[in-house]
Amino acid sequence: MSDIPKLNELEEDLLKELFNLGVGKAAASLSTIVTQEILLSVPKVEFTKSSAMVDLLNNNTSIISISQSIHGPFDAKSILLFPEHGGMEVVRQMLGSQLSDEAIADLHEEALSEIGNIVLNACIGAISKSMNTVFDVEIPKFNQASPEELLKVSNLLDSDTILLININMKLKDSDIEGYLAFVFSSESLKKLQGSLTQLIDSLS
Amino acid sequence: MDSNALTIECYWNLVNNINSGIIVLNSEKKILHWNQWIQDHSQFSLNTYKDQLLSDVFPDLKNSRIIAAIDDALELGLPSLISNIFSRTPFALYNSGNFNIDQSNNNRIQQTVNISRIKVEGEKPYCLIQINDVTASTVREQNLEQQVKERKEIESSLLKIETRQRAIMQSMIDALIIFDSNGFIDAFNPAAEKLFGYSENDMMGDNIAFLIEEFSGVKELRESIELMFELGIIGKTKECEARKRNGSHFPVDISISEIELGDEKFFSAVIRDITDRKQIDKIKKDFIATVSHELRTPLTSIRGSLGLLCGGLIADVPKKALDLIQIANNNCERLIYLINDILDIEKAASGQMSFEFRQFDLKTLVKQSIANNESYATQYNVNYQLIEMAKDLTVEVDEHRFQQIMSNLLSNAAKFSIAENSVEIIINFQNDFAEIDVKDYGQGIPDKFKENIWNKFTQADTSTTREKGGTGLGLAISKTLIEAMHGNISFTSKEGEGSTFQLRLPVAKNKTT
Repeated sequence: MSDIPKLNELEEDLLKELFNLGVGKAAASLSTIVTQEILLSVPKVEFTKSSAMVDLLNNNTSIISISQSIHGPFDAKSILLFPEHGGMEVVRQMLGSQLSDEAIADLHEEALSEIGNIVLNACIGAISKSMNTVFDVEIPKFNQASPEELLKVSNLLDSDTILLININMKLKDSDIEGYLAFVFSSESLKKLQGSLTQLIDSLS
Repeated sequence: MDSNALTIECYWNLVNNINSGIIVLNSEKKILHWNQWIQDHSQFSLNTYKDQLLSDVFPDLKNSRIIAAIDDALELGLPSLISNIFSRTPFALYNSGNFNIDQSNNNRIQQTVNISRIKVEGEKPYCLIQINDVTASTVREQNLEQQVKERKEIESSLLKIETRQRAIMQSMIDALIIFDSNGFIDAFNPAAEKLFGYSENDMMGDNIAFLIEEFSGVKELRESIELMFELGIIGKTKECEARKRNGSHFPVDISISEIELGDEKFFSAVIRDITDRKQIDKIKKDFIATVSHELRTPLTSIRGSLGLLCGGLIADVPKKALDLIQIANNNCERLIYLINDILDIEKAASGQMSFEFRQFDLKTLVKQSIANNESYATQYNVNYQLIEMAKDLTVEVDEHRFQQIMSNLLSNAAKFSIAENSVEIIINFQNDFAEIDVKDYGQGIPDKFKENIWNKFTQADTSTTREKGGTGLGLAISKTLIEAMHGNISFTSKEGEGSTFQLRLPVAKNKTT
């Protein structure tokens, strides 16, 4: 696992701060559109391998993912992941519980795509702004697959390095756990570290 | 220039022909272009609004997600999908037909909006807004949602009802079978499974005629049900013969009621095994018949002996002893009456009573009965008075049984009359029936006793049994006998004024006109 980068404390704090900024903005946007308080927090940021991420999600039957690829100073694929139950619960809580299960099932793809778009845009935006750069961002793609199929449908390799960010979403009646994953090729990873170093330098 | 490349004009044509809205903004969020679709749905001409700020053209977009998303696109290159779920009608766009009617938010078309950045080398970025009309699919979804909701409500209430009904059926002690008007079984409860030895699965769709003898032999149960209606089986309890899985037959009480479910008619049959009850009935009857017979034989010789002694034909009996013998003789008579009555009741109940029908002149018969009972009435200081309202009525009866009924009525009337009064016997003719009224001016029948009057062993007051004598079987026997002779008996009575018992018999030959 030598190719998993070891971040120093400063770098890790910075990354965590960036994502906190991003999800904070996302929470504000989401709260506005559904006129109820939604709290998002980022308890943990870590580098891991995509296979390890699959292991982490393995006890779920189905995983919902919304992904947007970004291209620019570094390339990455940003993915918001929810276990199916959690994803449905997010939609139910945001749309109001008077909807039938059938209606939730009908709407969940569109709703989660939009929610994912908001969360991912906020995080990418936070990175862009702090690094003072602009990425080309693709429109979100929705996928639903078993943990084993997850890598295949998302075009990921076992060996890809993932910046895995735990996201905790608090809606009025529920506490839903999801993940934000930024997937890097080894080349992109070096560029990210370069960008981080640069940013730290500019701040100090 | 590449001859395969589309010209700018061609592009614009294409954009104009797309069935969705396209708006292009420059980096200052001013309108650069929109297509025909936007013009059609806003009735704003591009020429008028070109170079204006989007938020000035559509003022309610200010501070909306749309403007934030445009900023994100222009500044950070972030694309936004704004579905119809969280913001339904961001742009003031209407169906072409709705412009003059109502320009409220409710009438706007439902929209999804995609906002993205267009990058052109060497130029500032542009913003592309794409708007789709999703009104039709939204309405469809809402209707579907409504339907789903309604269906669920109906389903849940039906489920509740069904669960409750099933629970009732399952826990019933009596067998319950539900069948349609053709007799096909729709439900068969555990008690029925136990009673007949078939499982519900065995019987579903089978015919009830298979289980109840009474219903077989009729091709269409519909006819048989009509028959049941006529016979008054529906809503009442009837004895039938049923068949178990092992082929054995057994008696049941069956009560059928009708259930209407929408257009369909169903019937529920509650079935109870009465084998035990039948057995007990039979034992009881046998016992009474045997005992009565065994009692009567010795009693007959006792009465004969006492009769001879009373008549003084055998020997001179001292006065004191004669009184005692008289008491013994009277009570012996009473005991014989009682036993005869009991035997009659049992015979009638088991259908063993035989009748010898012959035609008689009614007046002659009634005169005969009066003569038979005159001496009895004298004991109570009462006399019989015959009133003939109709003449020459002929009835077809068993003479002996008719006299038995008349004796019962006449003796009752005398017994319950107040001394010095008459008992009137009125012969009349009404609606093809001969009527015989026996009218007394006695104490009358108490109201609370009226409904029990035809029951066995009943007299208004048990104390009167001792005072007036009698077994309490007379009226029950009279009713059975008159009905067997195709007539009926009824009464009217007022406490303190007296009672009238009326016999009605079909007239065999009516000479009155």
